[in-house]
Amino acid sequence: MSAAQLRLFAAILAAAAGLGCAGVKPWERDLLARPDMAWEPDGREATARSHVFFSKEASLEGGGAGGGGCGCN
Amino acid sequence: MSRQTRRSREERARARRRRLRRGRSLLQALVGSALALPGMGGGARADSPLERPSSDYSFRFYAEEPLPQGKAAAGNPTRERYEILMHQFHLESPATERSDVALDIVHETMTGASPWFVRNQGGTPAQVMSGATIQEERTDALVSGNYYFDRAKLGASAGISTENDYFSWNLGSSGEMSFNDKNTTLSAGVGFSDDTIEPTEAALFGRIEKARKNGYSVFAGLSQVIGRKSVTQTSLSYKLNDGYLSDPYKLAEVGGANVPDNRPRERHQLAWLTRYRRHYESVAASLHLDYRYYFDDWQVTSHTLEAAWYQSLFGVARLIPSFRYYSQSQAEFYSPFYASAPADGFVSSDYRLSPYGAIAYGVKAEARLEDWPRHWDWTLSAGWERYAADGDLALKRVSVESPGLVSFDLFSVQLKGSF
Repeated sequence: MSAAQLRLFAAILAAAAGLGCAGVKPWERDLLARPDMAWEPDGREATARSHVFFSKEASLEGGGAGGGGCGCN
Repeated sequence: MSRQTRRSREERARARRRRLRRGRSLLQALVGSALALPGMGGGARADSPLERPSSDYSFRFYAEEPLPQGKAAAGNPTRERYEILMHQFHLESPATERSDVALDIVHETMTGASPWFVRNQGGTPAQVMSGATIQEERTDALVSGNYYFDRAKLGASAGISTENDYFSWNLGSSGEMSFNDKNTTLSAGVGFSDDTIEPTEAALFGRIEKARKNGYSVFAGLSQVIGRKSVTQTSLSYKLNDGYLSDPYKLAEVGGANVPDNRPRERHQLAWLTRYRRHYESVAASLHLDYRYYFDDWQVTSHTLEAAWYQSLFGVARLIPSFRYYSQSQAEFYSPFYASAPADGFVSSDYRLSPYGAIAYGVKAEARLEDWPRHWDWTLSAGWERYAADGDLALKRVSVESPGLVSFDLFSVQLKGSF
């Protein structure tokens, strides 16, 4: 990762953390709790698509660690 | 005290108790939704234990398009590619007051041919596919669990994966902690995998007989609630791959002769993923936006942009169109074919290490049935996604695209029940 990219990542982190100052109270969380607001509303679909793209492309999926390998050609 | 006065006092007391009960269940509902801030794990309710068991079964049919005639080398045995039937079974359940567990089983059957090597046909790369139709099966099993503290969560997982020629086992652990009234969540995790490959027909084709590789991964991320209707998350994932990383079923043409695919024995990978979720109340829909930047020490860099629109319909259904754009640069040692052996000896004509872009689009429909027969809830969904890779779609100009680039359709159906 270049120095410029590292600075950009740190800036995004700081901005994201800074946004917390506004704060949403627990009783205002109704919309955020909706299933369609989850990072992965359908875990099985996310796993299957991740497996397909990992097998057919050169990249790491990101968003987590671990999970299995396969002899995917 | 008169009977009338006593009755009105009793009535007032009853009315007060009714108000208190309603208030308490309203508070419970609000607290319940407060705890259900979307977290790193993936489920909607990620920072409190599951409330009820649920199970789902998914069936997927994956079909690659045949190799175009113009890309096939003279004498190429078949243009058909892969077809995969995939079954996924999932079971999750609360375990104790502060924990839940899950089991995932995947079974796949794969048939078809895959790219074998690329031939230099008068200066133009042409693909040769593996000959006979192969039939393979893969079975995966994964157990996982989570333990919840007041503002934190710990998770662990263990899994295995087996195929005719492949065996892999893996372990993972992750944790998250919330701050700021649970508006900010920090998460991190580690993973380890151990893979062994024993290629079929090794002696016949002069392949290695057995090889191993290990994967070591770590990630860290930050989620932030932006407002009542939106959240964002950014995370870094790093993986070290160590061992036999070549493809024993592929060859590369070097100076007119075929030699085994040969890649470095180490690969360092980094992915930076940023996600955004935003709800639009007036139209009852949510927007998903994901961007991933990736690079590794094989010189591959890639960009991925995904967008999906979750449109709720009549309170019981959802329609979800989606779009994905992908672009990757090539691995430093990749080439469709080689005039002479490179100094470091690394060669690969695998299209997956070539430069290209890809567009995928799809749509999924979901319908829910609640409280049947008693308090069970069901969701039935069906979806389709189409993917096409092409050198012209890459962000940077591609002078020679691999003849083996793939396009596919993926059809899915799923039935889910919560009990």
